[in-house]
Formats: sequence, structure tokens, C-alpha cells
Amino acid sequence: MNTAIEVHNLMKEFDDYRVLDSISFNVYRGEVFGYLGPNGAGKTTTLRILLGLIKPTSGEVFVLGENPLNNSKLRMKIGVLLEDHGLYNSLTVYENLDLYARLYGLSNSLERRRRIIELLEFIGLYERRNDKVGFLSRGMKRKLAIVRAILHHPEIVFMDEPTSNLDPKTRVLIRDLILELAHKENTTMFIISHDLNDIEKVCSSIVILVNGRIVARGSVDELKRQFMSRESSEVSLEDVYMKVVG
Amino acid sequence: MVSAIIKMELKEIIRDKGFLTSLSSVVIFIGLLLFSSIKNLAVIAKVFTPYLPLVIGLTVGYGLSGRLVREKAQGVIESLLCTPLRIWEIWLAKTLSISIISSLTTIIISLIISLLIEASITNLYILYLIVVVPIFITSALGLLCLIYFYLGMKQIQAVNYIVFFTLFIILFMILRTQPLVELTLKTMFIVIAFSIIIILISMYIVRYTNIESSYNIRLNSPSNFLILNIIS
Repeated sequence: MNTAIEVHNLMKEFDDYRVLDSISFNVYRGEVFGYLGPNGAGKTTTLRILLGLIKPTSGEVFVLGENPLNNSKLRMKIGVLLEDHGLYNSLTVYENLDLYARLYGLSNSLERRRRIIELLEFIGLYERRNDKVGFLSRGMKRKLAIVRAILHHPEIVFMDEPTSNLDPKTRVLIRDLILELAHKENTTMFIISHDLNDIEKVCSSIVILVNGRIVARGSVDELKRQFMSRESSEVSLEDVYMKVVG
Repeated sequence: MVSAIIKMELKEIIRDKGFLTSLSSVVIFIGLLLFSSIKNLAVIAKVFTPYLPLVIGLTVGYGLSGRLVREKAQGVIESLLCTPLRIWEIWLAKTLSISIISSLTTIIISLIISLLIEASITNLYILYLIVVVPIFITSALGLLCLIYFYLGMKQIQAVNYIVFFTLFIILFMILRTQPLVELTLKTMFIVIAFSIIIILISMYIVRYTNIESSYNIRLNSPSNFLILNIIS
């Protein structure tokens, strides 16, 4: 299998505080990878290192075979949904997407327009395309930020809490979108989430992080077999998580 | 790509209420100045002609640059850092968009004031307004954006107070010690040269400093204080 993300002995310290301690894992192309852990476990720090926003203290990270630090070309192939939506509040829904489409190199205006409209219709924001983002609800902003992350057909999509603030119908829509991108377009999905129900439904591989260390890894079924004595059909990922995290 | 951001930033600034707030503060300041000196307009015209555009530009720009702090807190900067844009391109786009609006506002208000106080509008003054003032404003706002880029929120609050008071202390010191500065090509050249050096230094710092310190991870890190000290 082709590797999309390689992390070897990753360590990160802020002043004297060690946030990540010898983390190693691989994510394969087309895989939906769940990165779990309690608050402060080091998930977002890992994400920032994978995005090349911060330097690791030691260890190596490769995204699509390249070092992500200050790598503009690599960012063309990556889609990102961060915890904060980071949208321009005074611009409209369409203008926000148009700006990011330009930044991601969609230079043909017709193609750009077609792609934006297609995604807005899919996510249910087409009617609000001329509204300023500041007037949208939190959930709508989340949907818009998700659309922004996949605008340019990225090879890897990093999503931090993709389904937070979303209504049940949209949650299902996003779950289906994640699976469709992974299966049909072979997009690698790196998902950080506290919603274990969503993670269980979409992720083929999971890593659980506690205090900067990996404490469990494998598929959902493997984790259930490894950590629970009952039949895997009787337990949920939440049971496993509670046992692992303590 | 930089032009795409500048275009959108300009739209944002014009729609933003922050612009109206900074504009109102300038109008109130100028209004009070003119009202309190109504008997000595000729003196005011002479003394303030070179300084007034700079004060107006910096006040409007200072108000607008607050957007950068807000964008940093809301994750806009981090989202832009995840795109193929390089950090110096983001800094440049932010600085230019704020500077363009500040400079245009300055030129318009300065000309209106000159007409109101019946000051003579010479060719040199026009040259000063459309060349020297925008370059000076860009250098000062570039420096301010740089500070906002690299510092944590608490440090930014401290810098805000320092910048605000320093601006007025410098202005009043100049007015006390050298109230009558004649606009000549030589003085304009000195200001332009000084401003360009500041712009180049700022660009160098943005280009070659670690991206990590550009957003609020290490609030009290020694590297952040070092950068603050260097640029102060």
C-alpha cells in the first residue's frame, strides 16, 4: 500500500513541556484515519506539524513523501478543516470560497464557479451563497469550512472536528462525503474528532493518544478485540476509548 | 495570489465597521483641533501641514490593523497559512490592503482640511501626499502587522498601548522642538529612504523567521520577546 503520511519518533516540546513523545504511525492512501484522544493529548500539535506550521523538536514527518515544513507546493495537494473555521465574516459565502479556490490554483473562473456551485448545492448552502458569513449559524460556517477544504480535489484532507455543531442530517451527509472521497477519489482522510460514533462509522484505522503517547492503534474491530473481553458486536468504540483513556 | 487576497481584503475592510470607527475617530480629532484653534488657522496650517497627513494615516491604519489581531484569534491567519501562500505573502497582502485604504483616506481628508483652513496647496504638497505619505504609512503599518503576526495576544495588548502613546509623544515632541518643518525634496527623500529601509527590514524578518512564532502558540516565548526587542 502507498503511504500518504509517515511519522517516525515524533517529539515536540514547548519550553520544558513535552506535548508529543516518540509518536510513530503511517496513514495509507485512500484510508480514513481517526486520530483520537482527550483534550490536551497532542492531537492539534500533531496536525500543525503535519501541516508544516510548526517544527518538531525531533523525529521525522513526511506527507505525500515530502517534508511539510514551509512547503507551498505540498499545500496545493492538501485540504484543511481546522477547529476554528477561519472564514472572512464580512465576505459572502461565495466570495470566501472564490478566494480560497484562487489560492489553491483554480485559475479558470468558469471551472471555479462550477465547482463552488456544485459543492454549495451538495452541502445545502446554495441559497445562502450571497449572504455574509457573519450572518450564518455555527453549523453553516462549519459546512462552509468543510466545502473549502475539499474545493481543489486535494489528495489528503485533514479535518479537526468535522461534525461538531452540525445537525444529525448534515452529520450523515458529511460521513457519506468522507467515505465517498476516500473510496471513489482515493483521498486520504485524517480525522480528529471527539465524536466516537462518527469515527466508528467512517474510520478504517485509529490511533488513540494520551498525554502525547500512543496508547492504542488498529482498526475498530482490532481495538475491540484487544481491549474488551466481550464480543466485538456488543461493545462500541466509546467503551474501548473509555477503557484505554481511563 | 497576493492580488487575490488584497482584492478580498479591500472588500472586507470597506464592509467592516472597524473602518467607520477609525474614520470617525480621525474626524473627531481633526474637528476638535480645528475648533480649538479657529483663531489661529494660519499658524495651524503652517505647523501641521507636514504632520497632519501622517497622523491621519497612522490613526486610520492603526484602527484597521486591529483586524489582523481579530483574524488571528478567529483562525483566519492559520487557515491562510495552510494554503500555498507563503507567510511573507500573507503579511504583504495584509499590509498593502490596510495601507491602500489608509493612504486614500489620508489624501482625501488632508485635501479637505487644506481647503477648509485655506492653506496653499503647492505641487510639492501634492507630491508629498501621493508619494511620501503612502510609503511612510506602508512602512509603519508593515511594522505593526509584523508585530501582530509574531506576538501572542497578551503581548499585542501591551504593544497597542506602547504604540498609541509613543505616536502621540513623538508628535508632541516634534511639535515642541521643531514645529516648522519646511517641505523640501530633500526632507521628502529622507522620509522615503527611511520608510523603504523599514519595509525591507520587516520583509526580511517575515521571510526568514520561523513560521512557528507567527501564531499564538508560545505566548511568553523568549524568541517572541527577542523579535519584539529587535523591531522596537
